[in-house]
Amino acid sequence: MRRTGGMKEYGRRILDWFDKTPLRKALATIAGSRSAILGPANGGTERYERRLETPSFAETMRRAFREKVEAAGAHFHQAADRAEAAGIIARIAAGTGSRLAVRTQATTAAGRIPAADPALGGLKIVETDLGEWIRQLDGEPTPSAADAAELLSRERAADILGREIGRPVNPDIPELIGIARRELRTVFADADMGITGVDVAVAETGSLGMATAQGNARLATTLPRVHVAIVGAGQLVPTLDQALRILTPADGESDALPPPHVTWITGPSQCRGGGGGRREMHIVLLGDDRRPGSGAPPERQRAGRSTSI
Amino acid sequence: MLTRETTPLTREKAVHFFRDAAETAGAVVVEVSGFAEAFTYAVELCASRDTVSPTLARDIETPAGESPGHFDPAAFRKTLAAPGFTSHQLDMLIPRAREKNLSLLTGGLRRRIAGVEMGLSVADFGLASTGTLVIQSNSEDVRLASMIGETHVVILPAAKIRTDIPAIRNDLLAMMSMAPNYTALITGPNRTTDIERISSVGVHGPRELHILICGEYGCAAQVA
Repeated sequence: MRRTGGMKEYGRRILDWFDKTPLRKALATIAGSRSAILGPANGGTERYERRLETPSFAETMRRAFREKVEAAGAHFHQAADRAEAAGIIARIAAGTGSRLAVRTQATTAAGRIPAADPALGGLKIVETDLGEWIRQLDGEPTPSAADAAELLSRERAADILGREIGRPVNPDIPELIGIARRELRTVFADADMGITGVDVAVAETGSLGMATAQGNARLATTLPRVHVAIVGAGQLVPTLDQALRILTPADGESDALPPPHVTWITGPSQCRGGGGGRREMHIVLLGDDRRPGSGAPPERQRAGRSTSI
Repeated sequence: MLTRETTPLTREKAVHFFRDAAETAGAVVVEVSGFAEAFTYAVELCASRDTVSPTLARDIETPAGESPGHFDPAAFRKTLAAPGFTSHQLDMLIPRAREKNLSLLTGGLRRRIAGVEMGLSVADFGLASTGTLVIQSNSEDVRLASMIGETHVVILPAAKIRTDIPAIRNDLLAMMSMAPNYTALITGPNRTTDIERISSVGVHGPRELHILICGEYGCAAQVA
């Protein structure tokens, strides 16, 4: 007949056995104390509770990022959802007297605040990705990533651009590109604010990494006197090494070319367009699903390349 | 750690790999003996290019009978934007630009964002695996020189060619840890496929990228 003593007895027997194994000894050597190894089984609940109160890794990373961002001279904001981010942008616009903004990478989840969102106040947003700009001229709402991938024919582009500049335009791609270039340079020249998404943000340096094929993110972070970067919570990584892996073709695809432009920005750069000689830089961390009381679904945007080449 | 066991490239191999990758990305790659030859190449290329209207679309007045956007190229000198060069380098560049009747712009590029014919830069590093140029451009003028020109010409000292991103990881970390910092990695001219998935260049940035790889004796001393 098998001896039975209930679960408590069973558990004690296992621990007795475990205490005699070489593994137990090895673990004790490694950790240095019995309580450290047995954890909850050895009165470790306090320890477990303490752990629950300790900031999570993600929270620690956010704090480190914020510290670096502010040390670099930029402003840090946190928004639970896009509506809150729109409100933050409106306040920045009011505080800086910004009326016109150029935007890049609007189709990344982090940046998809509708350009006509009433929460933006009087701020006018002009898309600068070619396809998104043409669709905006045509009166479409800010496209989702899926819409942006939809084919734009040269005839339709010519029709829309012709209406914009008030004369017929040939459905010739180099000519269309030339018109877009000239018109958008005027918008860049007049813009007070540049609103960008990012591809990755680095906690250890407070830097933003952006990849663009068209180069509009570079103009948007250089000409306007205010820069607002929207960072999805999932786009923040702890170290530069992790960030570089995201924005660098992997070894296996050594034939793949990187995006034409990868830009790393730490802190507000020189800007001769406003007073003070420095840009005013704001970073909005969006979609913090750990924040208590925020009922909004977390942003699922992950760090990674969001541009087509 | 993002590191890889790498044997330093020989100068010859570095130039070979860099050229191959950069040309694949759509850049024109030329080897020059030093800054003097690089400047000669740049001013000749600039002089051979079409004149760009320096006027923003909104400021163009349309004379009766002419299409909007019309301007008289003869009324404007072609402009070479070359900020961030040392006075010694400018001593070589200025007479060459004058000889070709070019206007040389060494600052205030913001006032010329409608476009200039050419921007001239010096790269901090070249990456042989991808043909990428690394340009630390904390100065607004240096940044704009790589963006607003129809053609962008970059001088790359051969001694500054590295294998890939991991090989300059420490340099990048040092640059990015010193705020403010604006570091640009450029691979070929900018492109878009937004219209009919057809690859086109120049919607925002330069339409052409020329990389002048500068030999050991011509550049090393002046860059170091």
